[in-house]
Amino acid sequence: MTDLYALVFEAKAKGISLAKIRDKSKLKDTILQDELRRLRSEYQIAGPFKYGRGFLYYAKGYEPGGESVARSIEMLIQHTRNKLATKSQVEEKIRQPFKDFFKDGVRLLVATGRAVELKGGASSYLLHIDAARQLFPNMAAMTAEGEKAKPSLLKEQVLAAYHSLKSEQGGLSAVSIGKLLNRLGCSKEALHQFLLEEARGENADLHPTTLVDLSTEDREGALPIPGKSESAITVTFRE
Amino acid sequence: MAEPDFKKITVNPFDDDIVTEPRDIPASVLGLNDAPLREVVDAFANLEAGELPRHEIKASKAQLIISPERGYGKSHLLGRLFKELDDRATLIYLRPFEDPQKCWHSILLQTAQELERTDNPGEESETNPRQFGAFANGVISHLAADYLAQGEAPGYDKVAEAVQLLRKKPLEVFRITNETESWYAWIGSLFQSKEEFRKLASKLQARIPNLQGREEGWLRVLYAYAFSPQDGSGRKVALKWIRGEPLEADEAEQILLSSADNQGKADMTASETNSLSFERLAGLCRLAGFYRPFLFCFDQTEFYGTDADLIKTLGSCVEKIFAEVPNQLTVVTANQDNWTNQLRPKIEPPHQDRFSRPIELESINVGQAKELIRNRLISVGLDFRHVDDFYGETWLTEMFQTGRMSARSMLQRSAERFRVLRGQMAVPVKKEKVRIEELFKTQVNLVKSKAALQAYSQDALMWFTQKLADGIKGIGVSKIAGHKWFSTKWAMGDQSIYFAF
Repeated sequence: MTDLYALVFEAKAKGISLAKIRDKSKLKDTILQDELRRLRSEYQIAGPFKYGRGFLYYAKGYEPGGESVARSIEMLIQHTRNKLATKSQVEEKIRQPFKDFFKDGVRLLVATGRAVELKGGASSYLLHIDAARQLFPNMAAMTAEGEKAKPSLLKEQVLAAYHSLKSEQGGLSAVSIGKLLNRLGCSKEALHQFLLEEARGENADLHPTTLVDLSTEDREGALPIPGKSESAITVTFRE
Repeated sequence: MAEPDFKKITVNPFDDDIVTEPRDIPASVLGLNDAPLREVVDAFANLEAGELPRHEIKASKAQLIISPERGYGKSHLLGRLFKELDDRATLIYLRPFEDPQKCWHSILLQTAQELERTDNPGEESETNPRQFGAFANGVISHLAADYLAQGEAPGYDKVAEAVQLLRKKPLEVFRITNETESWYAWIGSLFQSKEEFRKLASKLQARIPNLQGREEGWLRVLYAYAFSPQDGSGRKVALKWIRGEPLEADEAEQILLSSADNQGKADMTASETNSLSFERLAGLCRLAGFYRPFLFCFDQTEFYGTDADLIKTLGSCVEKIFAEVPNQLTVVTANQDNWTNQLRPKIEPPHQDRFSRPIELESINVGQAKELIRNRLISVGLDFRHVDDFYGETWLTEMFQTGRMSARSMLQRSAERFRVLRGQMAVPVKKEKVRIEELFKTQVNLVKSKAALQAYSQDALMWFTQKLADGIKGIGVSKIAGHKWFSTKWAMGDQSIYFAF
């Protein structure tokens, strides 16, 4: 039988319509609906989301919602420097059905300290924290201290990097801590501390290894686990 | 209540942390790896659509089971899969092949050995047949039902009931041998009569048109196995044919096999052997439409290491079995590191598509750890009221303070705690010297205790020989003058030992 999850996953943030799934999978309607129901119940896919006259399905993580729209907005405003975009300009660039979650996305960015809304006349502008850092280089030192008090800021970054690496390795969940470290560019201590806390909070699993022929990247990211002789080389975040 | 005395327990119940035989696995714990198991069982269920006998059902993609690291229970999951599918499938466990030129031959030899395993653990009996016995009876019984249903027994007035009985109870009917009813004798008589036998063969061809003209050969072999006593020579001959070996003239005559169906030749090339082996495997799976589908499990894939030829061949095997062999589901297990860095990059891209998306194994949580520890302690005789003493006030919870872990890692730490509670040093200050003879004896006893490990494995011998050739002085592979074959020679002073395989 056609791998429906792979079909939906390939579509990524574009989503895939029911008609296209039916066409590509060549499955009978009853079997198709059963399989979609199963994938939904296992939280592997999300949908259907109304789009135009049809419906779209997404692989989990790509579906319309506050988090995915926040990521899209971030991509648009991260490097604006002093050319700030108005909220409506940003909103115009977000496609349906994601547009419906635009307000949620902005709220999430503001709440997690990744962006602020600035008022100017009748317009609202969005300023991302990275763009602000580029404008005020000294701010980086100030925020380094502030980051300790705001673990949620790091969590968003780590999760975004984790999902991107996971996707690059074909959806396999255990991601190299060394690769994560390089992708984030943060300090090893901060990442290790964060991962240990997430593991204690049952949000992540750390996987120690007995392998000796590790890559340099994996070796550099190795996380010593208290009470265990082997260090963790990979991490899995729970969905 | 008295204090628990761990010193009285002589065996450390946590030392057994590796599954070497999927039919002999320790009990599982609630919830752990249930989701991956369910996924594979559901994929298998696709092969069971409709009533028996079935038309050929195309396989799903090979189910790829990925462990984040070693010790998350790949082989244990296969053991659970075997238990779950039980008599719904013919279960074939495959260890890595060593020769890419003869991969199908290796798979076929292991399949033949697995067919000789009983349906359930324990000795062969009427109610616990060998897998091939059940398979042969199943196919013959449904074929006999076709024979009756298609009006080949004029004058017999209980056709409908008989067909239903043969289809619903294909194994039990062979055991009905009372005065008025002996299906065993009646089916036997069909095979003895040339005319009726040809009718059976033509009905087999009508059901399964892709047996490449070998319908009569297959029927002779299935009959020889199904109607032979335990350890009877008919069974040995049948298995020899299944393995693609040439039958001696008297063996072929014994099971009435025509010379055209006796295709095996003593001097076949590797390619011919491989081709005949695949034909036999495909034939078995096509016949499975009459009875139960096959489950092929490729385990221990880490042993393919970095050998590009072997890995490429594994990919092409999965591709070929997916594309050409119906009525079977293939399962492949791998560690994530091996899969992403060694196996996948060397498998041809079109063949990569023949694997399912990865089905990932899970870490054990504190509740499941408690259950596993409790089961192991009780199994060696500890009073269940003392299990909490093993967890201690903080030991178990502290172990999970850094999150979940692999089941093997948890067992290893439990084994360590058990040693401490028994008053042994956690880590010996000075390791005791053990003589190599004693280590050898321990290994021999381990193998003796598990029947499956005693089966001859051409691949294991080949691996062993290659390792010897790589590392021991005086070992070499050479052709012996006057013979066609190569042999491994171990030269020691004025003596030489030859290994034959």
